[in-house]
Amino acid sequence: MNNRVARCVMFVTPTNPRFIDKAWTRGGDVYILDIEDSIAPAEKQRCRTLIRESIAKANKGGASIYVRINKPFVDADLPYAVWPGVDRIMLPKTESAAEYRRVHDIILKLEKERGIVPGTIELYPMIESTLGAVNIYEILTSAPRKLRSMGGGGGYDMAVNLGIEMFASFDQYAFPQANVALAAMALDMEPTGCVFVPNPSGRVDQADQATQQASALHAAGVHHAGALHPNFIEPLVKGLSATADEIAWAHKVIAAFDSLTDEGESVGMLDGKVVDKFENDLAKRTLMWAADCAAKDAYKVRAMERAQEANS
Amino acid sequence: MIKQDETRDLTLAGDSPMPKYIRRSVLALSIDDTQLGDKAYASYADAIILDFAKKANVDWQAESKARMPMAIHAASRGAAEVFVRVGCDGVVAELESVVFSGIAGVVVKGVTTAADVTAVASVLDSLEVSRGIPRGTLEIDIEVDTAGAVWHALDIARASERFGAFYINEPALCKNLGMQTTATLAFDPLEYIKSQLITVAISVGGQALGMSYPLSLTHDKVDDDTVKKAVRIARDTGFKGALCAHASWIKHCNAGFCPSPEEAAYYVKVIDVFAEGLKRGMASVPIDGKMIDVPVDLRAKLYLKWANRVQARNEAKAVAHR
Amino acid sequence: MTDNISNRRSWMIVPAHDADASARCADSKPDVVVLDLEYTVPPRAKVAAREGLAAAIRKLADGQIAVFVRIDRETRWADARAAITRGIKGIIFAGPDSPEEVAELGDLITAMERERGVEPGETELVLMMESAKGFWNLAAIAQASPRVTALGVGRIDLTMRLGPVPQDEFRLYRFLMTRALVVARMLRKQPLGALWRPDSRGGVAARDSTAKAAREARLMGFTGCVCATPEQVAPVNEGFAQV
Repeated sequence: MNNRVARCVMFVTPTNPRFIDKAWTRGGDVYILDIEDSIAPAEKQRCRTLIRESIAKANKGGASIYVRINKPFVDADLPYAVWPGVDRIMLPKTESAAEYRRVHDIILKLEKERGIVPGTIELYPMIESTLGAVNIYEILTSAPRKLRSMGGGGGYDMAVNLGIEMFASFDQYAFPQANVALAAMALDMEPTGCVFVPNPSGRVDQADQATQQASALHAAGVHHAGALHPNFIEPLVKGLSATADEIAWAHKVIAAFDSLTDEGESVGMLDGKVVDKFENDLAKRTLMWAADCAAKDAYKVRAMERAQEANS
Repeated sequence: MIKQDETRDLTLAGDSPMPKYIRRSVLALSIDDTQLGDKAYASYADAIILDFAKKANVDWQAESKARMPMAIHAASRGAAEVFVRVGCDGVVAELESVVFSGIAGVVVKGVTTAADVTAVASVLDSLEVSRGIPRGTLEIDIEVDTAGAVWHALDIARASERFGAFYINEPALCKNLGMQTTATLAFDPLEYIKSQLITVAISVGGQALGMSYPLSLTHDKVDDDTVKKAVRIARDTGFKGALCAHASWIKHCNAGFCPSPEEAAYYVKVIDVFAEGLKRGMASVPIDGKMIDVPVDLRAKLYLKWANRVQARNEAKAVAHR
Repeated sequence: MTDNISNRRSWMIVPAHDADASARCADSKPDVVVLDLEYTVPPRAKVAAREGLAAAIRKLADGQIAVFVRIDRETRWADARAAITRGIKGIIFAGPDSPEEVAELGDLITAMERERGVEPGETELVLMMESAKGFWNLAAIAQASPRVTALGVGRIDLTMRLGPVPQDEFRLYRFLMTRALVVARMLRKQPLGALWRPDSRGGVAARDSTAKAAREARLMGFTGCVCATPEQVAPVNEGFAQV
């Protein structure tokens, strides 16, 4: 449900019972069932056959489910990946409109066969190369398939393509990420990246790094983040939700703007801050986000209770 | 010398070389420079760009034609690749006067659209035939010094198979954009433009050359440590080399625009540890708390290849200097 | 018609319905007075603002002040009709999304010039970019009408929801400024914009942060920006002064 709320998106390996059986207890908003880089070549086929049951395992706690397929094996992967309950297929290393369109077509066929409303599974082009970054607009407009949010243009593969060492103290993906974000915005998608938080250690398992990242994203107005380690889940979910202070302030701004409008004014001050139509819009968005988070959290609580009952 | 296990399968890392050229340091010299050959030889630059002047009251075309073959020969003595720099205005006449056997290609300044590049390419098509140069071998590099070249960068890079590299002429580009050409800001005003040109060049299999801020603008003669740090930042941005404002930059560019020996040793370790893990059916293996998986392994293989090509380039230059 | 455009440093916004503000606006010595029909005018005052516009423009023009009118994207047709009159220098269009919109507006201005006895083609068009679609199609939009003399960065932090990032900037702000600058310089338009930072947002910016935003923008290649308050005019004029 409600897959706009993706405060913490985490990879899980379906082939590892230790991860897949426990994932639902960890409280993530989204789990990505991976058939790509975290799965050894010899394990790929076994992984494919595990996807369908993994969906039911990983979403027990109310999380949404994405599946990451292999770019060289889309034909082999997709019949095992497109099922009811999957919100999004992630296509790694997307570089051209043609390859995006082709995957769209295969998904469309499977949706029709499997009782899924055609076009409703999102197809997310992972932009991990310079070619993907420069072709982003053509890629995103090549198929009539909805996509709520879009980010990317950095990461390991982009670093290799650029021939750089990662984890410098400055933003090494300035243009590719910004280009992807701008194209996404121009196509009315929510742009999810472009907030640089230095991580010179390169470690991805430290909770304080997650807290720092969440607070930077939150301030910038971005509510999506990825996690490579369970330690990231709680700080991200917490840090990217609307806070009580923000909600209270939003109500005040909306009330103040309403009375301004009643008085025939358009710009006013509230506690030393400007109140105008922009601030009013922002306040409304804050309340919408707060409502979405609350709905997702309530859904997760109910799902979690059901799952625990079934377990006991 | 970094040893590479011949049995390692590198096919997964792709066939196109990364980077396309080992061209870490580039020095521009004038054909009027009486010490051209000596300077080029002593510089140890990977590439030399030759400049010529269109002198008034002289038949510059005849003069260039007469002198260019010798200058090219002199510049290449230290095993450097040799390029000639031409301007977009009147480019046909310029190319006529400077393109001779022995150059790797031309560097074109003042480009604003893709059409400028196709015009150069078609002149090179015919000059290769008339001057006995193997067809399709001359490279076109673009010196980015106009707003138009930035905006049309992708079309420019895709305009010809000959496209090889973007050189960013930071002072000229700043001037064209109406930016201050002294480095007084706390950030690089060209940050996004540099990142764009790097991204675009690599997306077509080429590369970009440039220097990090503020050295990119000051061009000051600075101490070794400052140059080293600046080169490191430029490399971490994705540049594969720089046009050196001072010959003193060259040794730092040669050492810095490629994997260091420590990095190369680390790649070897990554490759070995990952291969061991695969044998035991593991898709990821930790080294010092960092997970080594398929992408990390591929990166190590690709970068090790790069390090070995650099080694080979250094040896070729050493032979020429013997 | 495009001569001397880079001399226009400060573009001061004056709500078009506010006669007092209009009367006082020359005091702070802005290079351009912008009579606003956009968000500083409350909805119920819009009709009156349009009706009084021609007189206000003529009065300012008689005082040798360069007058522009900022029109509201949503009501741009009626706003432009109300604005074209003898004495106006140009129209500011905030938030264009496509070349067609700009071409259409250019044609409307042409018709109005004819009707109102304004020298044909004299009315300039300044585009203030505020949307992702606009920034994506920047070059095509800026070339959609020969009237375009300036290209600027509007209130993108607000319209495009670009919150602050740890580097003390708005998210994507310098990327979008860079795009605007490149296209403006490529097409020889005046680049307008200031490096507003999270603590110096246009509407509330104090003198020092305004001066800094203008100065940094000048070093980045911009030559002027919009001022939301009269207090911002002096620091903006200073910040954009060519040294």
